[in-house]
Amino acid sequence: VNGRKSALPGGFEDLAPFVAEWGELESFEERYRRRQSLPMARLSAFYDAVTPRLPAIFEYLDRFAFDEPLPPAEALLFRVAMGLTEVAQAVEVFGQPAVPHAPLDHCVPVRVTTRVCQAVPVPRAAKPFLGGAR
Amino acid sequence: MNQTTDPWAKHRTLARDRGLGSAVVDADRYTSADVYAAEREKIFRRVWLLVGRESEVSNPGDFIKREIYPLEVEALIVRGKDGVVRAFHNTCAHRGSALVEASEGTTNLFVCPYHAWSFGTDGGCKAIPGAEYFPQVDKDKIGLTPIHADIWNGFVFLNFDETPRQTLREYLGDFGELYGEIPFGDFRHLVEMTMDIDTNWKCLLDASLESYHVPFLHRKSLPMISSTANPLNVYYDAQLWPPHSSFILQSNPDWVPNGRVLQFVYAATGANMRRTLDDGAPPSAKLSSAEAVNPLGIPNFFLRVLTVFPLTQLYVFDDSYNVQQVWPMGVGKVRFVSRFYFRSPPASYLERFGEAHLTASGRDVLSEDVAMTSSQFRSLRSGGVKRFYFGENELLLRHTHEMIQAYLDDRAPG
Repeated sequence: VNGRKSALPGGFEDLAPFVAEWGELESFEERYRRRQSLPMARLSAFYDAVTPRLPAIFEYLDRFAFDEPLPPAEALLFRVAMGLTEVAQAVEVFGQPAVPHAPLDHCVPVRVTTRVCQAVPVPRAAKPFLGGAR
Repeated sequence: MNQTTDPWAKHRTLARDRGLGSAVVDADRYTSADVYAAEREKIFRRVWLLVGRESEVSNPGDFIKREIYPLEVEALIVRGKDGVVRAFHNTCAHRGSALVEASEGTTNLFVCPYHAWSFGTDGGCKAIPGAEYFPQVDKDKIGLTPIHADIWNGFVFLNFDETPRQTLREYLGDFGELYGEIPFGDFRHLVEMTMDIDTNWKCLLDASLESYHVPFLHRKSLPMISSTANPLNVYYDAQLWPPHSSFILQSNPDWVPNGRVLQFVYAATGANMRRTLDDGAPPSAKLSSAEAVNPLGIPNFFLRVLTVFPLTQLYVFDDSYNVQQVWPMGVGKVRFVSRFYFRSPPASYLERFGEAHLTASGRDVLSEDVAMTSSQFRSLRSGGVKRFYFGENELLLRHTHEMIQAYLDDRAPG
């Protein structure tokens, strides 16, 4: 497709065949949907190609600062690798793309938010009510 | 090791050990609109409901909005300038518009988008544009409608009764005393999942109160629990604190991670079968080291589940805990919310991968329960069965359904 956009970092070019399916996905929910939409043969091919590269992928990515955005090629590699968090469930756990017993095209509405809650700096006292607000 | 050589077998808890009846119950309690209407008024409007963590409103002016689905109420939970956490109906005192649209934020003043009446973080009315047109209104005497709020171990609870029959402390009783010191506040990183499910809230709650189904429904997704010694996962050290309860679930000591990605995640991140990422905290900081969590020292500890009646469960692992809530939205609709709290956020790309893998695996387990309990509900509505059987090993179903019935019959504890 777009050659520049789909460029993986040097040394990871062998994963290019999976960029179209996994390279654009940002969210947990998108990855879950993609896993269910692909035939098992595609999931297995992805699994067989990416799994042996996991140590090298993260050894490479974690040379970059975690608190800054990754450069485009590295960000693409990370998105592709994250696909394996879903594909591994299909390949290693269930032996099929979807969760068993769920109907075909099962789409559980899932929302994932990640945030850091701050420590509570103020007194813990809780009074149910206040003067004046009634 | 078989059952007879398990030295801990005496701590397995069956219904008869706790004097629990309710071996057979009517199936229509899951499908009847009348039962649901009674549950709304006699349970959800009367008991204390857990709605969040105090740390979600850390600083003065911080607020969160939470929907109390069975009551169709939007609650604003806000920390005032004085540091006190209060709760109000998200309803303008003028003509009842929804006041706040954002689900969370920080503000000194809530301004109604309709006519700009404004309210402070203590709920008091601060300003009325054209106040001279409202001679009947004394600004200093009106405000947002308060909701009873209190805090236990960092969790914010609300109560919608006109006058609560019990304080939160009374409601939680010895259960609250025993588990009040678990250091939940040390866990600051949150991963939240929400699922809308076509089932009755009790179908889903039932699935979280017995682990008899684990070797069957979750045969592939949870192989790390059921062991040769305890193949049907009879609970160890199950405790009843009416209306609440708790139990311990063991892990299978013979299980070894299979699957190359799972092995990679475990080896590279220190994640383990207890669904945690090893955060390097010393053993004394593990949640399972808290005296109340595993007082008998049951080996192969997997988790303790605290069930806060009626719709909340706290899953206490070693290095994380999970708050699961089954919010009824109707007789056949549930909003299921799972909040996983970790001590700290991922600090590397590898850890982000590990966290996503753990989250996907947890979601798939829950999805099996979701699939089963929604098909159960569809099937139940056909009238195909008239009664349910709760086994000796399903003692917490017996207990919880006895408690539900007690509230419906106006003979609740307290």
